[in-house]
Amino acid sequence: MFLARKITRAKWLQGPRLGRGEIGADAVTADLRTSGNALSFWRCDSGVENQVERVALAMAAAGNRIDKLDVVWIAEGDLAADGQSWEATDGRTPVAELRNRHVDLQRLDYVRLGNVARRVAAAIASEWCLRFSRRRVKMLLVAAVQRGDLDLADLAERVRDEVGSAVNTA
Amino acid sequence: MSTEAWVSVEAVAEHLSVARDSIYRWIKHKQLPARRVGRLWKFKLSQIDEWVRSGGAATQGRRLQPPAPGLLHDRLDALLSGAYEVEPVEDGIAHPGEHILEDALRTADQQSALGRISELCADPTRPGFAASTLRCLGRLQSPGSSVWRAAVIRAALASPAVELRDAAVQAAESWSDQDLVQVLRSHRETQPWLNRYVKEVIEDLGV
Repeated sequence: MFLARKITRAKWLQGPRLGRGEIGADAVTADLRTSGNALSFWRCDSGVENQVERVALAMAAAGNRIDKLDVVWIAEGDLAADGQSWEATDGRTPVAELRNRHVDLQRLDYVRLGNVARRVAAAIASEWCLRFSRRRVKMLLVAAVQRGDLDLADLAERVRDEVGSAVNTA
Repeated sequence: MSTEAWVSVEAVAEHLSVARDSIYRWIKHKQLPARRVGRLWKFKLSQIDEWVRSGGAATQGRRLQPPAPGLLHDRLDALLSGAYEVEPVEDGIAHPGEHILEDALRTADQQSALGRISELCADPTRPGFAASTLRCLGRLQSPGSSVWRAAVIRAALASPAVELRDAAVQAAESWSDQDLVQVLRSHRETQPWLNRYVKEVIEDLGV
């Protein structure tokens, strides 16, 4: 099993005034923002594209803008090897079927958060990271509405307008 | 009965992105709506907006006096910097930077605002700031002209900072301009993953 999270891939490349292998603080502070010393992830059976698509859908449906999306995934075994714990929590997404895939990494201090950052950087280097273009994100949302997995009314206004109009013209 | 608050000359100057002296001059010579309360001038922003819309500061076909360039430059920079400090730009989530840019583009002198925004989106000394600004700008509905948008994207793609080049492709995808296909085609991307995204966007825009 894997734990997946939205990131901004470009921030994780070697940043200004940093050497090879160093992780920029900008990447950590922008992409690993904790709340209550916890960090949100989504469970994913594998790194196979259609599995990652499911968590991308969960994240995209919770937003209020349609943008491109970078999803990175980390092996649960690697996090466990770091001594990292997590627990299932209700995911904030209007796709009901995916809510139970949400977990929070718990008891993060700055050392543990650093470990997570290193795992994210290693995952990106191994191409355990998938970019969904804006168009593809929109298609995921449209398809979910058409399948009945997602109710248009549950989307944020601007997303609903765009997805609704695509559903109507499909 | 109107409950709109009276505001100070400083608030009006900031609202219009002009110097305070311009406000005093417009009260004296151009009937800017104002009321004297003791020694102070007080204003209602709704009346100010109406005065601007009706061409209040224009004289014989001249446009409203543009904001002092330094004022617009410093203010926009400071507002955006503050917004990014509080909250990084995140994909899929609205950001206050979008409204700041929208407001700047509504100023009396749009050319000056567009000029400043294009500078900020290609600032070589602050690629992270530039990328955040371009990501917010990309969410606005076709700002400026297509020629201006192409110039913004071209300048950002020329940056050595991958974050800024990525933001440029993202903005190009979001604006969906056919004209941007050529700009993307002429770009030589060194990062394989970003190159894949460039190709995908070219394909999507070319349809």
